[in-house]
Amino acid sequence: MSLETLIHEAHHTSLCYQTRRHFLHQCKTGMGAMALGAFLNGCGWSSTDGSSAEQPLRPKAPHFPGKVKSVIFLHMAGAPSQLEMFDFKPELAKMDGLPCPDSFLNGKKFAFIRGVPSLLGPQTQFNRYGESGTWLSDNLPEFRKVVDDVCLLKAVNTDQFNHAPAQLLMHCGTARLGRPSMGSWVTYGLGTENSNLPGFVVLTSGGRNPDAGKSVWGSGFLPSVYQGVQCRSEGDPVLFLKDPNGLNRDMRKASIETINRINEQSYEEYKDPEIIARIAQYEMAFKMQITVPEVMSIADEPAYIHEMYGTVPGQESFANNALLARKLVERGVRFVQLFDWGWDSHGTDPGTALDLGFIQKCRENDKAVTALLLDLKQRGMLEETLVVWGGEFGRTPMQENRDGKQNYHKGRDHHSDAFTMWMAGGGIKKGYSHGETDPIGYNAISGKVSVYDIQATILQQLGFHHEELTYPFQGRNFRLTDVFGNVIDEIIA
Amino acid sequence: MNFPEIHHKRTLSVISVMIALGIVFWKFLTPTPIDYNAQVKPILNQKCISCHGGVKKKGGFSLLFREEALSPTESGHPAIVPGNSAKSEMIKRLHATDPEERMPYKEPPLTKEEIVILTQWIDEGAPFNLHWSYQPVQLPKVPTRSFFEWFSPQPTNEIDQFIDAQLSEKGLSRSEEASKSILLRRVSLDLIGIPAPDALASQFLSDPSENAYESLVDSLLRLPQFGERWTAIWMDLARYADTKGYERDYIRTIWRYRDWLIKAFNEDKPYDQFLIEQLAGDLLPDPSDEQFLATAFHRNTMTNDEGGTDNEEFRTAAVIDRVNTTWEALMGTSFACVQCHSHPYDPFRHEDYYRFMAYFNESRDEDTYDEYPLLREFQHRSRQQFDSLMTWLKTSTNKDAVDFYRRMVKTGRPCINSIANDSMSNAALEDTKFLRFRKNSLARFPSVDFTDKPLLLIRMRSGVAGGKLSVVLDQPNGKPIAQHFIPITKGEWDILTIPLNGYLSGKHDVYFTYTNPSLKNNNENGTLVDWLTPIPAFPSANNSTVYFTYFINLLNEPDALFTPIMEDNPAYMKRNTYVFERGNWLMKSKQVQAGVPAVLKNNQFKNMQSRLEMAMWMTDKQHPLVSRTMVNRLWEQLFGQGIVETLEDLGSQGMHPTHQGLLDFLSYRFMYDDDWSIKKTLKRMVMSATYRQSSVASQQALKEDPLNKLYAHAPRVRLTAEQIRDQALCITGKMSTKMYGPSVMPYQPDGIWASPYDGRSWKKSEGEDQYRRAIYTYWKRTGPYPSFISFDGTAREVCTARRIRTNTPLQALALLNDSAYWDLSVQWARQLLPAAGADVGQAIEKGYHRATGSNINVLKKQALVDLFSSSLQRISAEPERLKQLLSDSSNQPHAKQLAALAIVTNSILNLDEVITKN
Amino acid sequence: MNLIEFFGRLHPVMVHLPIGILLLALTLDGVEWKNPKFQSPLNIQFILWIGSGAAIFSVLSGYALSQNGDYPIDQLEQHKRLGYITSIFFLFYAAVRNWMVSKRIGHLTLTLCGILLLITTGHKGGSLTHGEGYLYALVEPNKDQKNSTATLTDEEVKSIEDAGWVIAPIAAGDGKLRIVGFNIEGSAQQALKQLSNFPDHIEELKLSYASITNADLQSIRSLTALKKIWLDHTRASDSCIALLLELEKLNYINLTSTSVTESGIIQLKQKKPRITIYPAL
Repeated sequence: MSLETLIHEAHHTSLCYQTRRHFLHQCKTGMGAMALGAFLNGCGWSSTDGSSAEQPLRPKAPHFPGKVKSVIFLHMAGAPSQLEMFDFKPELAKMDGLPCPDSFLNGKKFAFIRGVPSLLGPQTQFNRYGESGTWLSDNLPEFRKVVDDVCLLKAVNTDQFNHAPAQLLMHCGTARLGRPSMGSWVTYGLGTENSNLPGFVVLTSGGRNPDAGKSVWGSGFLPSVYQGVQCRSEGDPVLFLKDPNGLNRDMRKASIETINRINEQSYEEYKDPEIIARIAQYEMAFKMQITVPEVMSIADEPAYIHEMYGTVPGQESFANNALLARKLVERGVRFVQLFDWGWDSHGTDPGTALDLGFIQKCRENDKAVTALLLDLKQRGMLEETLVVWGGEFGRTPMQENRDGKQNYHKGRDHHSDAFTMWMAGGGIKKGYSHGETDPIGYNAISGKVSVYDIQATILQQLGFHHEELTYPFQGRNFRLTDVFGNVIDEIIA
Repeated sequence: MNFPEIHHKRTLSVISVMIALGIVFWKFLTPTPIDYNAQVKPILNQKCISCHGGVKKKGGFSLLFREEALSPTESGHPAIVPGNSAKSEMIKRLHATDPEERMPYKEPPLTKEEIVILTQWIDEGAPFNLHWSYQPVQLPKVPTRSFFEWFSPQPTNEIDQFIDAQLSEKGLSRSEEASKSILLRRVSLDLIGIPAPDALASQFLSDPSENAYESLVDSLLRLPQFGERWTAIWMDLARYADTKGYERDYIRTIWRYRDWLIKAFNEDKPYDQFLIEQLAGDLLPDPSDEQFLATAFHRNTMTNDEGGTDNEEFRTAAVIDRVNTTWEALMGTSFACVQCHSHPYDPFRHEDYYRFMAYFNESRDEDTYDEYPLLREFQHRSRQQFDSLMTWLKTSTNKDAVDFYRRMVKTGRPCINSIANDSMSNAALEDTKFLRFRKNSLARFPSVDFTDKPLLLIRMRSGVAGGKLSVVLDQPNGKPIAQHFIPITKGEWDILTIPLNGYLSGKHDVYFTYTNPSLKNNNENGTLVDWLTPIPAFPSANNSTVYFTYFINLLNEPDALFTPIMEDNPAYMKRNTYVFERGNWLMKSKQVQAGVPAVLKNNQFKNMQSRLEMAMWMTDKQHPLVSRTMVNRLWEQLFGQGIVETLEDLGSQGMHPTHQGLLDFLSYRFMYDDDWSIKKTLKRMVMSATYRQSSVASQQALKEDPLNKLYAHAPRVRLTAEQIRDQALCITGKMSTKMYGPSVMPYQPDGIWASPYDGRSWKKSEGEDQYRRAIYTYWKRTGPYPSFISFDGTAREVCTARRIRTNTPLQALALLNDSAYWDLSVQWARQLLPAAGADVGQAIEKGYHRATGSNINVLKKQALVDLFSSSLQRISAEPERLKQLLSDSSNQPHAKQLAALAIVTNSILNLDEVITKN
Repeated sequence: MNLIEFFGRLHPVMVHLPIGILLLALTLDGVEWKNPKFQSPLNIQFILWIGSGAAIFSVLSGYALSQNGDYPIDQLEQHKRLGYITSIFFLFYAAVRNWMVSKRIGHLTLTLCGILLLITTGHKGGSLTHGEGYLYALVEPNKDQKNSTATLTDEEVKSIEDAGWVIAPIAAGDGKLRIVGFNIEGSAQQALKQLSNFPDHIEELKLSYASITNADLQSIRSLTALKKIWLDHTRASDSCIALLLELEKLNYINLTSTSVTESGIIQLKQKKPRITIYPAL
């Protein structure tokens, strides 16, 4: 029996046999069944052949034609200060140094602020840019070039003010562990268009993983195939991707062929369809060994690209990751999540001071982010890609006084009531700002959106009703947005 | 038959149409059967059960469970005669006119409709349609062999009779017994997680007797590796990890619990005892260290060290996790959803969740940095001090006092953690962990009980001299009951003993005022406080001061094994438990008392308020879920899928059991005949012919039962992450047999551990520690061992009742390329090479046999020989690769052959037959 | 299979029997009412008897089918009741027909009622199987459904996948496809030819990074429904422009990192000013 025939057999006969059979069962019988059934109907799969269980990552149809096919989520872990980037508050400048009014403190909880802190004016200059006349700070000199392509959300609100839970809420729709992340939901819903690459890739920079750990790209109760694959810009881009030292491709090919040759015989003996799946996975592993390093290498990019992003091959940096994000999306990766650590501007040391380390951080980020948008645009990819930028929460208009002591450097505490995020790409209004905060940037006064609204909007752009992309678990249907979330219609073009 | 054909057809069609019509009309005419849950239960609950159910059984009649309802009442006759409402006293009483006779007694009568419903229900047989899994386990009838089954292989025990009965319905039959070598590998992997030791294996293979298999099974069950294999399963349920979780994910020392598990499985601790100790070992009379260690089961919850977090929030999260884990892991019920609302399908109420939570809400832990309370197992010098202190105490004071001091030294209870302070001025909770006094600072601890406690102990450290602490009760400016100068402790924790002015009584708010003239400004740091506690006067017998020093030393002893354990609050520190509206811990509504869901109530346990009583209730033989859940889990481990596939949910939302009778049968035997012995239950399962059959699937079986739910052949199951590693260590001969002890760090690629604020790194263990079984591998929650995760290991953040097996390219990559496996491949090749002599075929035969326990066939051997030759050719063409491939062995005589053979052995480790249980 | 279930599944087939028979009877009866002199070649009452019998049989099969509970309860209930009423009505009709023919109003009422019942019952039944609004969908074309194309069969899907393509359905139920060629190995020409069997389905074709030349592309000419095409990172060059111009519905062309020259793109832009073309100049 030829290998090809075996693989086809894998497609069509065996699939219902899977060890993932419960997943299959749930797809067929639960409400999730309807979702998946609908995907399959889209291209003529009958809902009985179980193909989806064999290839859980094969492309599936969304509920309606999505405006975008992939998402790049740029997460600024640590939470950047909106007040030094996007949310211009001239009134706050005037009140710099005054004690914070009680009305802002009563009944509030802060991570570190104790007692009565002072207000802290913007630590940088602002000007209007672009045809939209959007206010931007001097910390973002490059972003001016693309400000007419993005849509700012200036009144995002979360209910968590510690890093780990807030990051979990942002990415998994709950502050607790155990739920699937957004990328997992998206790959569960849409599959991937390039099976030689993972559907959901995570890249980290800033020297540390996000506070919430790998759960922010975990698959929770979804099958583990949907979890984010962390690719690294140093070492093996994917763990265990590289052959043992000294082994060359021919030797590896020969060994995989031998393994599969023997496994084919085992199939002849046992007729266990899982063996066929395993044969396919070994083939896939071999292909990934070629494809992934190729995509994950930026060394061959032209000089002008390196210049534009500020990339240096071989380093772990946000810029490198931004460029990789473009390359991955270009190759059909569905969801790319970038975590850039180092935005926690408490002002406890120069590195986290708003007038020192923070500016440096902004500049690096600004250059790479702007380059990413321009690059996507020039390649005709921005129409099919949704780029989302933001931290897990914002920062207070007050200067942090840790344990009641004013910090030596200018810094701000965690703030959950209002902060800025932005989106750009397919189907999102361009050069638009949604939402407004009060004169000191403390509370939202209009256009308040929640983290769930952001999630609902992202799913909407991909072609999903966020309430209907569900998975049955522990006796009920779960979804990314829990029981909340409204699509932010105002920002949809 | 000689019917004219036309005739024949007509008759057939007429008959079939008539049958169809008949069935349809029959359906039309029969009234809809009464739905017990929708129609009957509400009436009983409203009108009857207050007198005839649960605690009250007026007239000896109860309607809570069917067997009660049908059993004779005080009158000597049953009140309900199923199928005969006319003879049922219950219905007669509903119609009665005499007010003394008529039911409900002294209440308005039932409506006509209600009586009709109850009457019809009894006529239909009075079914109590409680979901099967909430009904106590009863011994089901074992199916007898039907005519057709006489053609299938002989059953060896009742399991097979259950299996055969369902197979024959589908026209299938069990397969023949697997070959001895396959069976040997299967049963070894299942029972001890690794291939059997060589001696056992050859003994079995050469023993032609009938009971060779049975004695193999008995021997395997006696091996210490048995405990290690089953501990691996329990670690997922217990969410065992060597770190605390959340953002900082610092180290936690809890491996003593893992070792406790291994011992418990090895000594076959009865499962009820096993659970009681883990759930409430601390509440047993005079708990031993081992019993305390068992309670670490529920201290595997996560602790959040992130600065600024609310400790109460994460304490609550841990308590909630304990509830969820207890139900999901031990009672196969997804109770977590009742957290927010009543269970939509199963008979659990929103309030039940919080009533149950009350059992765990009294535990003393409260998300502190040091994870108090900790069990101290003293070593060396402190062990002697402890022993002599205890001896002295026994002669010097009464038993209660001895218990108090032993408890305090062993677990540090009672004490008030510094995070309990609720009001301060210029003091601070530093990093939300310890209380920091600054110049002229004040901190308050609410309602501290001082009754008969004239001494105050404070664990603190101080870097500056001149500090003075005043203790004032009830108001900040009152008269101090004690004043104490604070010594410099040079960065070490010390325990201050502050005598209070005489005996006090009752609970008081305590104000601590710290002053220190040597501090220059208000922001300069003074003393740091960890915990404090008032205690009774120390016994005043001979050498009292010496032993008091021992006592204080032991309280502050760094040289001990510390393990987080469960321990309840003393009476004066009780917490209240509330229902959380929509599951939000900040929205507390009604206060509740501890209790269990009504549907699982057991009349033997009344007013259960403690965790221990709850544990006794769970492990009572009447509890319908505990034995079923465990038996189902054991079955899943052996057969790849549970009898109820959803191990985490046996309720109406879980999947249907494939063999409900069998599950009940095994659960019954587990409790009543095997006295909760896991080993006996496993033996019962592996002795069955069902287990022993071949895993080759027939065409018919593939067609009729593609998911092999009926077991017409043995399942083929991919090994678990742990088994894959352990097996590779075994077949390459590298496995260390060392048991117990702190977790180890085998080879792992760089960059897996990257968490904020954490300078720690993965330090590869030395010597044999690199090659220990998977359960000893250090488990960091935010960076679990990567190749385990590839093979569906869980992050252990929360309890995982069931691993879902996947089959992904990342698994292939791990086995092909992980240096750990390549290293093993080379070492294995080195062992095989000498055996080969001139003929590599022999080495391959030997290696394959070692890995699979079976002889290689010609085709497979040819494939591997081809791989060897082509690899040898390629290596010979590029000999410079040798150094990289073999590192230190590259200079030995047959280096090229060795490298080529390593490619072969690496491939063998990847074979489906090797990573799958055949 | 369960006998009742089998019997139930005959319902969709069986219902057409009474509908046809009864419609015939009603038509003949209608003609007779209009023109009392008309002599029906068939015995109308007899046809009505047969039709009513068939209707009862349909009701029974329908009842059996309803037992599996796959249908929305409200709609099912309506259809069920109408079914009972219809069959009883026609029994009555058959019984009184010959007597009623003499009374013109009565006759007309019977015929009209019959037609009305038949149509409503049938329509409710249709809605059950085809979804509500199935009928009206034709009258006012529904936005969502007007573009829907028949979904592919398993074999068709397999034939595309075998050629190395990945099929990414654009949305549930509309049959439109996005075809992605990242994993194409071997002859792209052959693979593309395979696609030309599905001209109505393929709206988007992503050939990014595939090893294709202008010559290979010839067969996409037949993909008349194509709206978007990605040729980025391929060996496409200026000579593919003529081909692209032939595709009427194209509104997006991506030629990033190809050998297509600036003048080629200008040429495209001039001919098709409304198309989005990358690289943007």
